[in-house]
Amino acid sequence: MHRYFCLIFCLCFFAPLHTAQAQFCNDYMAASTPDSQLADNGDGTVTDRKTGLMWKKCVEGQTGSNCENGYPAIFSWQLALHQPRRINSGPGFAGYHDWRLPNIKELRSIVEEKCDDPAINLVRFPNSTSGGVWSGSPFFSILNGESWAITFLDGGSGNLDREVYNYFQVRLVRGGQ
Amino acid sequence: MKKRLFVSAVLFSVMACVTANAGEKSPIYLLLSGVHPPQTPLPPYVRLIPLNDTGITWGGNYPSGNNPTCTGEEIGAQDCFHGRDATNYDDSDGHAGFSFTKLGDNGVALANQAVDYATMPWACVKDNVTGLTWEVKTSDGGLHDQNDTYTWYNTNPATNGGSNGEANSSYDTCEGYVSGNAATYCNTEAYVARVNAAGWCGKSDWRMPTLKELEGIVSFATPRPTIDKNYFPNTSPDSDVWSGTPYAHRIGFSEHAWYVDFFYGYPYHDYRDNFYYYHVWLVRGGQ
Repeated sequence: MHRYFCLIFCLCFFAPLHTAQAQFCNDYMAASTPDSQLADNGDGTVTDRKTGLMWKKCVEGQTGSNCENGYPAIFSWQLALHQPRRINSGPGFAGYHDWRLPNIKELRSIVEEKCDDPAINLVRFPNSTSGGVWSGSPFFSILNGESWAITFLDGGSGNLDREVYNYFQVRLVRGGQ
Repeated sequence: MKKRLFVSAVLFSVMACVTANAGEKSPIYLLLSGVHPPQTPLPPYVRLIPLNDTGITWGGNYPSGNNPTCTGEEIGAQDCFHGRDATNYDDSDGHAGFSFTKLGDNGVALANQAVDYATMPWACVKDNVTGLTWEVKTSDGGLHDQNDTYTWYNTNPATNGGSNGEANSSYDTCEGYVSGNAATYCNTEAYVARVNAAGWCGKSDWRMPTLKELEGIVSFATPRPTIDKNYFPNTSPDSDVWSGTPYAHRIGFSEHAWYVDFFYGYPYHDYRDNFYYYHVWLVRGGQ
C-alpha cells in the first residue's frame, strides 16, 4: 500500500500552483507554534524558544520587515544545498555566517498544526506561502534520488525527487544541537 | 478489510486534494466558524525542549545516489553534517545521536541498560534528548499489547479540532473490550484513561503524543519500522500510530487526525471515524 503514499503526496505538492487564499486556522486546537514561543529578534531572524533554533524570518527570495518584497525563490535540492554557502561566504545574514538547511525534524518544528494554507504562524513568518520547502535530509538509500520536504499547505512531508521538484523553497536555520 | 479501506482512502485523498485546492471555503466552514470556540490561554513560559536528530548519517548526491558515509553534494549543508548524529554519535544508548534509557515497570532505570528485552523486559523508555518518556508496547495480550488498535477519540473541545471522533462502541480491537461498557471501548481517549487508572512506570499522567513528538522518535536510518527496535522492540514493520493532533482543515479532509506510518516515517492523516484503527504509543512529560 505504501507505493500509493507518494502518489497522493505528490498530488498535494502541486498545491502551490493554485491561487492565493486566506489561511484557515482551527480554533478548536491548541497552537503548536504560539507567538509566545517564537521571538521576533527585529533583525530578520526569529528565535524559537522551545527548540532553541534561530530561523530566517523570510524564505530565500523574500526580504523586508514583513517579507513583503520579492517572491519566494525556487530551488532543486542541489541549488537548495548551495544556498547557505552563498549567504555565509558573502555578507552573512544578521551578523551570522553559519546558516544551513534545516533537517526534516527541524523544518517540521515550525509547522503550525492548527492552521493550513499555509500551515505556519503568519505573525512571526509573514507572507509565507503554502509551497514545498526543502530539508537537508536525503531519503533512505533504496529510493536514493529523493530527499525530504514539507508542504506548508498542510504540514505534510514526504520524499521527493531531488531534480524533478525544482520549484521548492528554502528557509534557512542556524543553531541547535 | 484494511485493503478495501485503503482504496477508499486513496480516492478520498485525491478528491480532498482537489477540494483543498479549489480556492474557496465551503459554506459549511462559514457556519462552523460562527461557533465560539473555547479560549486556550497562552502558556506562562516556554520550556526549552531540544529536537531529536533524524538518524540520517549518510550523504546524498545529485541528482541521485547516497553514500554510507557523510559525503556528497555540498555536504556541509546536509543533515548528516550537523546535529547530534554528528556531534554525539554513540550507538550504546540508541542509534547515532539518539539517547534512551530503559525503565522498568516501577519507572526506575534498569541497572543493566545493555540487557535484551527477552531477558529483562522494560516497560518505558526515557528519551534523554527531549525529556519525554514513552510507553513500550508488550506482546503479552495485556492492556499494552502491541497488536491492539483504536479509533481516534477526544471529547475535549479545546484540542479535538471541533469534533470528538469515534468512540467505537462495537468493535473489539483491544484488550478488555466489553460490549456496552464505554470505559472498555477501543478508542484513544478510553485507552489513555485505562492506562492512567492502572498506572504505568509509576506514573498516571500519560497522554497522546502530538504529531511533532511522534515524528521526533522516528529514526530514518532503519525503515520498516523507522524506530530503534533495540529500545522499542514490539513494533511491527508497518506500524501506523495515531497522534493526538487533529488535521486542522475541516472541509476537504474533514475530521481527520494525523498519524505516523513507521514504514518510512511519513506523517499522514485519516478519518477519525469507525473505519480507521491504528496503534497508540502513549507519552508523558514535556510541554
